[in-house]
Amino acid sequence: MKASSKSSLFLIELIIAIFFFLLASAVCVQLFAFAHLKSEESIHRNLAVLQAQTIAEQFRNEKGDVDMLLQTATFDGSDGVYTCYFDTTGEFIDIDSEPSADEYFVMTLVPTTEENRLATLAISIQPPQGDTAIFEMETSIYNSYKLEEE
Amino acid sequence: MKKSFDGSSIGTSLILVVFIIICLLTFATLSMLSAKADNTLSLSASEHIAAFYGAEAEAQEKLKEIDDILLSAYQNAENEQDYYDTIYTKFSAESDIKISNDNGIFITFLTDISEIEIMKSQIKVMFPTNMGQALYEVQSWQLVNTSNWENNTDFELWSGT
Repeated sequence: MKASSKSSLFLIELIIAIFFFLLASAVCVQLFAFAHLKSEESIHRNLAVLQAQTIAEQFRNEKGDVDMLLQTATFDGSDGVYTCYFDTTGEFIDIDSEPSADEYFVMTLVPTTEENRLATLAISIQPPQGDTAIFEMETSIYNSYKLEEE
Repeated sequence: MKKSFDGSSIGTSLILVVFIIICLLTFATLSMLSAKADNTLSLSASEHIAAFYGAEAEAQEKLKEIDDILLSAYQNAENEQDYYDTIYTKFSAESDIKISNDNGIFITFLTDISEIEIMKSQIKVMFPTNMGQALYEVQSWQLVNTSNWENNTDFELWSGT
């Protein structure tokens, strides 16, 4: 009778332990999932910033010549809005190869030119499976008047 | 040979589970805090980069406005001195542009990047005489920290004696 009450006490203890373990596990899983999402967001943002900066510097280096810039990757689109895609390693990819939606970023470029002098490029990058842009920036380059153009 | 349950292990499993829970919660919290700090840093860096390029674009736009004024003055000037005089008079009236006349005319303008950083651009006004020459020459295009440096003298450092 004594052994039986001790074993039932042990069982109750085990049940309580399992209950608290499950409770703590649920909290931990949520914390780890949150950490994973935040970490992934940071990685995506860092890559987006790097790619945007690369394109911006190329644009500035080409003195705002969009045609030269468009040769650096496979760009889709016309009417002043161009789109290209790159994977999670930063490599530009061809969308016709039908990559999985969680594997590529979407980069949108909107170049504008004012009086053929002040060239501006708006860059927007969407993360994989993202609806909103993770990074947006605008860069400009001004080409000064030169005497032969009088 | 049947072993009897003596109850000596009661409480051991609970202690073990409590220890595991504490470990799990600690690692999960640390992981979450680390990821959050990384994300905040990444966000802050991306905002700074966007602000830098935004200020750069604004400065380029200002440069265009200045170049338009220089061109207009150049086209209407009778000679080099008249050109420089017109430029000096024109930009002296501008509040956001600083002009100085010291071994040439220098135009300086500032563009805000953040609360503690500005972009300082300085150009030298030129009078082009040969083909391919521009109306200005960029002298400096730099970031300047505007925050005040405060010496912290609270620490008691060992003076060597």
